[in-house]
Amino acid sequence: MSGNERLFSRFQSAREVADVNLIPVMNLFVTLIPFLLLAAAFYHVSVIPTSLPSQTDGVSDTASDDVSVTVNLLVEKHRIRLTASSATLNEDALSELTLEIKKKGRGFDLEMLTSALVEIKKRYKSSDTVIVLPSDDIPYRDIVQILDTSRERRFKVNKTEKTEPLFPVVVLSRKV
Amino acid sequence: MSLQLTSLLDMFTIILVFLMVSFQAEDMDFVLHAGLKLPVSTVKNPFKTGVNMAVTKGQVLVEGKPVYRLLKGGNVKDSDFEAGQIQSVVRAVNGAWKLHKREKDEEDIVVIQADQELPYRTLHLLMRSAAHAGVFRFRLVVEKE
Repeated sequence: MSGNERLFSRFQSAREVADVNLIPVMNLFVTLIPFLLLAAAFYHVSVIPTSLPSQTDGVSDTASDDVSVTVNLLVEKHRIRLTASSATLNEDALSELTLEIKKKGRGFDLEMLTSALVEIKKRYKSSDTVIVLPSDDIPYRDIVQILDTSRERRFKVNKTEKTEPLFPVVVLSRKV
Repeated sequence: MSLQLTSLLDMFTIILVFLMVSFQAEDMDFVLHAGLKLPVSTVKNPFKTGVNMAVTKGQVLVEGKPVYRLLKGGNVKDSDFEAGQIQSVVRAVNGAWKLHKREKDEEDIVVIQADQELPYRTLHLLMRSAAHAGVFRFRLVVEKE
């Protein structure tokens, strides 16, 4: 066998190895893709649990030595009025927590709301309930933003986003 | 002459990876109503089924059936607002809840998908109507951020 023939035969054998039979892989893909297309979620939805205020005859399950407050957010067209109510705190302590958050540009100053809620949570750790009382003309989108802000605080640690729960129990009501 | 499948295989691999990422194993039993724009939220709660209520800018649907026509801007009639409930919504939620309880043994929850521009006055009246039907707990459907 001459040198050229030997080279050609090596090239031929290399070509044979390179020609992998892709038909079974294609069959697998053709089966998998329609299945995944059916089960794919292109629109990701989530839910915010909430309730209306209700009156119960039962006794509160909160331990008596735990001082907790319920945050009330009165949402009006141009401001949010934050007040607190509690079964254990006196009027003076509650009035210290009162705050008015004005509208900043097109939306509310949610950073200020977060700071105020973080402060309340620091002082009264067992508090977890927020009652949101929006005015009649407040759009649903703005209410969701306020609920997001009052539910948790988002912050970054070493470029990783973390969350800290604030007031996860949401009650939607209406000022009478 | 063999068929060149390499580029086709590349394309399939990309599609497969994309679909596997967006694969949803959970059966949510939820259909988003057309013409409705949900508000965006940072919440990450798992979806829970219940009585489905969709509120578009023009009408209220319970389990996909229209039960109440809204006024311009998604508002409710003053007479209904003063009454504190919408009778047709109370009836529809009550019927749907009983059916859900019997067939699926579900919790008493109304899943509300409402348009992001809907005024609170309407949303609150619908929640009150559901409460008149005996359901006090709600899940507000939002688009994940």
